[in-house]
Amino acid sequence: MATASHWLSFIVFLPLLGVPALLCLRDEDHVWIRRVALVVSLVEFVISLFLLPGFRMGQPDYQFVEYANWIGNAIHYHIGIDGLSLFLVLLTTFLTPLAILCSWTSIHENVKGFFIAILVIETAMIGVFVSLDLFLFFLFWELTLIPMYFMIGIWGHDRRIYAAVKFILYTMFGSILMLVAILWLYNLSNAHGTGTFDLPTLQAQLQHGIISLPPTTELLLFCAFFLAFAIKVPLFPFHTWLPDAHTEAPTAGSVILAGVMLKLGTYGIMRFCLPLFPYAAHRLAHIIGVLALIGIIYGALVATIQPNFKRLVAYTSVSHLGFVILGIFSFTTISFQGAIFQMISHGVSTGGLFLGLGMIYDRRHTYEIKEFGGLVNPMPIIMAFYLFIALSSLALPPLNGFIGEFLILIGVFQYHHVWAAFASSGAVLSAIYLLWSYQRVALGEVTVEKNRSLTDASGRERVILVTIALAILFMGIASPLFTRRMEATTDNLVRQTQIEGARQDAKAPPPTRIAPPAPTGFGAAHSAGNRLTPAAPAQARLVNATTAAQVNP
Amino acid sequence: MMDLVHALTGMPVIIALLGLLIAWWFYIKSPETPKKLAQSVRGLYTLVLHKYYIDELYNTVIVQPLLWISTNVLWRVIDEGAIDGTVNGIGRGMRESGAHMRQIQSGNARSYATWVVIGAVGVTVLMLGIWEMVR
Amino acid sequence: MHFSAEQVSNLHRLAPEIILCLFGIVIMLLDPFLGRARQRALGWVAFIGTLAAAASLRLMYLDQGYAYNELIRADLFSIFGHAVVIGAAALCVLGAINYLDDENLQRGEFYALVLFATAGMGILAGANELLTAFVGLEMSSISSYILAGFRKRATKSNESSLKYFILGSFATAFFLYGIAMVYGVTGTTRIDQVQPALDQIISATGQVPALSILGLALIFVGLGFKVVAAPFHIYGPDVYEGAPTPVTALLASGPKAATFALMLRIFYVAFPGEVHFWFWAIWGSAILTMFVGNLAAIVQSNVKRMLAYSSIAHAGYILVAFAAATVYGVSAVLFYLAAYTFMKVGAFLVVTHLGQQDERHLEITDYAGLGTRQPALAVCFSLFLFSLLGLPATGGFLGKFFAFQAALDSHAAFGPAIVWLVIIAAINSVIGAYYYLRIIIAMYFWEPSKDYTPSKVPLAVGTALAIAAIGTLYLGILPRDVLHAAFAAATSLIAR
Repeated sequence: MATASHWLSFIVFLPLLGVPALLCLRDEDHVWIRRVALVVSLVEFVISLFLLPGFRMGQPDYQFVEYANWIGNAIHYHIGIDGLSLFLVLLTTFLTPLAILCSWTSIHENVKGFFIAILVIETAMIGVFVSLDLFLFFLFWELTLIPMYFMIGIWGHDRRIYAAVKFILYTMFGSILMLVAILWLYNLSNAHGTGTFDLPTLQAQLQHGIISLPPTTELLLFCAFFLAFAIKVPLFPFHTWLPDAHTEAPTAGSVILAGVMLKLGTYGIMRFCLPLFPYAAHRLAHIIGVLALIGIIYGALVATIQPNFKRLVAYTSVSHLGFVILGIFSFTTISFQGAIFQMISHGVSTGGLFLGLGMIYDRRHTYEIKEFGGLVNPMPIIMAFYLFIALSSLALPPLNGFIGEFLILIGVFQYHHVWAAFASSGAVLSAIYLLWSYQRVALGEVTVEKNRSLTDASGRERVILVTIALAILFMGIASPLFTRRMEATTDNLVRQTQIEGARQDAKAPPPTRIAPPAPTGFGAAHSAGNRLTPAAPAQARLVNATTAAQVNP
Repeated sequence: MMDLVHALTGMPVIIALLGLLIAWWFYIKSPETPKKLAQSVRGLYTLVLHKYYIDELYNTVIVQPLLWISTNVLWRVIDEGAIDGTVNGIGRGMRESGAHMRQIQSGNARSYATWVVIGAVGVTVLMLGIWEMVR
Repeated sequence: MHFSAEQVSNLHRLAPEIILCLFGIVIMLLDPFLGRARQRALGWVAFIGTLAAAASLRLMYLDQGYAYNELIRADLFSIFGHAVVIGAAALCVLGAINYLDDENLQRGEFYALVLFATAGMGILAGANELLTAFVGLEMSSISSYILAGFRKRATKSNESSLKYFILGSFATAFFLYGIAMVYGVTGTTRIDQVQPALDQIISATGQVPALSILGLALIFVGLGFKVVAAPFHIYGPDVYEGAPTPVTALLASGPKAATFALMLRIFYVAFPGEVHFWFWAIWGSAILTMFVGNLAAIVQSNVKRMLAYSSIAHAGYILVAFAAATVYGVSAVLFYLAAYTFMKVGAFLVVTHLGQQDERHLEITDYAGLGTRQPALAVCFSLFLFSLLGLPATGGFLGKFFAFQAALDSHAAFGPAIVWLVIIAAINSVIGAYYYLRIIIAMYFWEPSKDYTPSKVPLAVGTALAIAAIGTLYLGILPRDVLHAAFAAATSLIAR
């Protein structure tokens, strides 16, 4: 893990470097603020594309790794990408310029703050995807919350404060329990050798039995991590922050939220929950799978009857990401690939849906479906592209949504036939809500007089729509370009999560681990009457549970 | 075996030819027959005209109930009522406990001193209680 | 009058206290000579005094050991405690200079009292003997009582001072009573000789003497009062709210840090073998303190009072680290105190500046739209609020991080109880997030209020805020050196 060039660090921090440039501009200079932000994000996208040629296929290890000591021996600045995070980083850098472009005319107050928030959140999100140190990961994870909180709360719509507070407290609750689990893992690694927060090291220690994890502890740690990610995904029933946050956020906020931030959750599950706690993952797979299925169907049904168009699209994320969770917890390489692909394609498609919605909102300042009707007459270009994006969200071949869902369904079917059957109905349901809403909004005659005079897409909006459409088409047709780079990682992940006999007998002890010692933690009965130590020198009186250094050398 | 195959494959052909025949009879040979038939078997005619009411059937049995369940049960009862209700309820509970905490702060210095004494008694009882258990 | 050579040569180990007291005396002497207009120069003199005291820590560092017949112990732990306390005092002095001008209260006594209080706190940090600790405690307390009532014409300030004095003396009585009991059982008041004396009794009689446990309980009451821990916290909100805000800044940071240092000495050095007695008291107090502080703060609309409750909550988090009963726990407490000082003093100084004359503008509505009107100040305040909340990349987060880590590390000895403590602390962090975010909502999401326009930030306050902000970020991003220092201090406390 020697330090190579600093390309990846540059990608992570470049948007943050754009912030001083923005700070130097005057507050009223909206034109240049937007331009500078756009240029920074475009440059970011271009340099991130250079990750592609440098990425070696067939190698499951992390690439572009950078490693530096930070706090003591335990916390390092350790970043790297593999097949899982490569495309998530590209998704982030792809969507950010589009988010900036779509906010060109709709943000009028505190413009500087808005674009600074977008750049900061871009850095934080990319940081989450490339962090290989648990502390660094947590740092970037929490850092994504604040700019989004501001974006929703300042530039959002009517119920923005409620939505922003709900969003941040909900997600923070999950992540703080994850922090406790991270610390617990660190203490475990401390007890059995040198303590570290480094993910690959911890993974190796767990797999080789250097750290022995009793099944109950593993289950609890898995749940702590999983809760934080499940809230983020969102998994039913932890999804209720999503409709409010998405609906009340400004368009760019929704695009970033739905396009990238939800994937932080699914990424976390694949990066942490599965490799670190495979036994627990298998044991809970059924419950989680059922929740994912409920999410797919429930999300789709509730989406169908929403009177607010944006809220409708928000609920579709619950449904689509239910597919991803289902794919993850089927533990087959093809469903993993489908899950990763679906993450990317959902980001592009749903991001596109929100971009289209934003264009409608810019003209009419409402999202209520009954205010629309026959919009294809005044705005054919926007509605045509919207239909195209909706069809990709609906999983129409040969667009990108189809690839993801299809791969997932094949993988799920190998694992659990019944699930696949129910999940397929989700695809049908997605047709219902997307097509029905499109019909009510776009087709037929213009029902509300105001809509007759709406302008069609401007040049900037056409650029946005065409870009998304091309991306959708490209992903759908050239999907092997994506899956080939994911293959090594997914194969590796399957191997890491494979435990013999774990699928058949959930009660069997994990055979790849050394038999855990008698539990002194959760299992030990603690009576207040115990004398902790016999008479001994003062130093040994106090509990020195570990002799190894803490975060100090 | 081949008879079955012939029967099965032959049947649609025969039905198609029959249909050809009927169509020729109804529309070319004797055009007044369809009208007479429609008047004599009114019910059957209406049934067939409305495509066996399958669309209406689907609507009442599947679509409307599904929409009703989605709106009233899934959305209002579960999503907004149960889940959001819990979330908002926690928030409300916190705020109410906070209001209670606030009332303990009476501003009265003597009551404050009483609280210190209560706290002191509590700590003392706790620690001496442990001592009692260890003895 | 025979000073043994040993006694005199150890004065360098008391250098900070000596310098602080000297500067205090000089300020009091200069006070009548300088006219009303030039009194603020005394503030800067006081600030230089704190800097000099901080520099003199080097003398302590170079030659550690005992002073005054082993009444004072100048070890790394004492140096760390001194550094925190002197830092708090320096920032508060800076913050007070303009405030006192606005309130027309500019007197040299203010700065002298702050310096005397700081000297007392320094003694608390370095005390090796219980009655010396009492002297330090009273030095800092009595100065604090007077400082709390410095706004003579405001009823709130008088109320604060009187309540603080009455209840503080009441609690100190508990403390003294506890010392008396410990002396009665062990025959010594020296902190480092209590445990050996207890050991002898234990080996003779086979059990821990009840009187020593009672003494420890009463000492906990007295000191728990000082750090505003539940169930002795009840005076805190009223006293903090009534005192002049720079004084509140000092009260919230300095005496807390010094008293925690003393508590660490007493619990970890004088009673380490009785850990299974006091663990539960600390455990229960921590849970109560966190909930009381956080829940009551939710409903506050007065920012100063909200920050007062938040101080109570943070004492709870420090108690979580305290409960770890290991050297890592000590290290975590010390790091937390350093980070906490920066963020709390910084937050209170912002409140000082925005409170304006007569402390009229302390409601959350007065902070509306600060993000647009004074962006630098709003960013600064947001940084302190995020640090109090525990957002990563700030000192507050790392303080909680190390506290939780140290506590979880001890779970082998204390079982699930301490794990639940950490989980409760984590949940409390989220509860706490709500009211910190509310201030940020007011600053950024609300329209600026029409009837209040804050003034520009003057130099002294601005310097203090800058120092606090830089400190918060430094501790959050590059904590290595301070963490090493805290760990070294912890080792010097426990290892002999």
